[in-house]
Amino acid sequence: MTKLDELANWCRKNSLWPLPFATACCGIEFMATGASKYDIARFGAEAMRFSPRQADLMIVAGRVVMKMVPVLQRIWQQMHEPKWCISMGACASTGGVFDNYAVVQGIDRFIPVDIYIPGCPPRPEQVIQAVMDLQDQIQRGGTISGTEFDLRSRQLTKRALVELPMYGRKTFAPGPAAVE
Amino acid sequence: MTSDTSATLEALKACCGEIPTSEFRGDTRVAVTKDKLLEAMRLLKESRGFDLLVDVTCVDYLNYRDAENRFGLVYLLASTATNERLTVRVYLNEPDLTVSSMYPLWAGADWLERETFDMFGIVFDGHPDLRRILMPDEFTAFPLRKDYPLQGRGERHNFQRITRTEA
Repeated sequence: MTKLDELANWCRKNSLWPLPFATACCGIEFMATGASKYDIARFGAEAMRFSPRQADLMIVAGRVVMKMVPVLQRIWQQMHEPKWCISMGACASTGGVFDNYAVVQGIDRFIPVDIYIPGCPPRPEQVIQAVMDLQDQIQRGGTISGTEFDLRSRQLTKRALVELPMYGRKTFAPGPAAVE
Repeated sequence: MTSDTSATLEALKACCGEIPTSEFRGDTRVAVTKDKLLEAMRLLKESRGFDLLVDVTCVDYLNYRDAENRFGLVYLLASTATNERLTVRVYLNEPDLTVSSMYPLWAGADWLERETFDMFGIVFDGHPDLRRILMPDEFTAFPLRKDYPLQGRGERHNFQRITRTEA
C-alpha cells in the first residue's frame, strides 16, 4: 500500500455516505444515531443518501423478508466501489426472533457484510462503534488502483455489472463479458 | 341479541332454510352453505342494510379438536346505519375450495379475498383479479395452512448469493 493509498483511505473513511436500508425498528434507532444527541456527523457519516449510486455504506437495519431479497441485492449491485455493508441488529444479522417462512435468516447469506452489530435494537453508541471499527478496517485495506480486487480476479465480473436475474427465473445467464 | 338481529335471522331463515346460529358475548354468528352464500349475502346487503364488509378471513381446522370441516371461511359484516354486526361462516372441504366472490356486492372484498387466496388457497369464483397479494407471484404454497411448516420449505433462502468477487 502506498502513501497515496493511505491518503485515499483516510479520505474514504472520514466521508462515509450511508444508505439506510431501514425496514424495521432498528431504522428508528439509526435515526437517533443521526440526530443531534449522538450525531454520526462527528464521524463523517452524516450524509444519508437514499440513492445507491451516491452512497458507499449500506446499513441494513431491520428484518429482510424473502420478497425483499432481490431488491436488496439489486441496490447493493447498484452501489459503486468502494462500498461496505453494515448489518445492524439481530434481525438483519440472523433473522432474530422471526424464524418463519418469510424472513431471511441473516442477510450475509445473500450479500457480503463487513460489520455486524448485535442488539435488538442496538444502542446508537453501538452503531457509532461499528462505524469506527469500519473506519479502522478501511484505513488498513484498499488501494486507489483497486489491485486488491485483481488479486481475487474479480475485476472482470465487477465491470460487467451483470444484472441480477429477476426473482423466480430459474436459470442465470451472465451478460456479455466486459470489454476493456 | 337485539331485535334488529332477530329480524335479520328470520329473513335469513326465510331465504336459506334452517341455518345454524350461535351467539358469543352479544355477537351473532351464522353458518350458511356454500351454494346459498351469494344469495344470503345479497339479502343481507340489500334488505338488511349490511353496507360494510369488515373482513374476509379463514380458519384452518386441521387437527382441531372436534372439527368436522377443514376450512371455515369467515365474513364479518356491519351496518353503519344501525351498528348491527353479523359473522357469516362458510365451511369448505378439499378438494372443492371454490366459493363465489363477494366483489359484486362489496368492492372492498377485492383485496380481502386476494389475501385469503394467498394465505389459504381459497378460490373466489367471479373475482376480477385473483392474484397473490402478499407473497411473491412465484410462491406456490399457501403459508397459513396448518400443514405448511412454520419455517417454510426453503423458499426464503432460494436465492442467488452475491459475493465480493461479483459485485
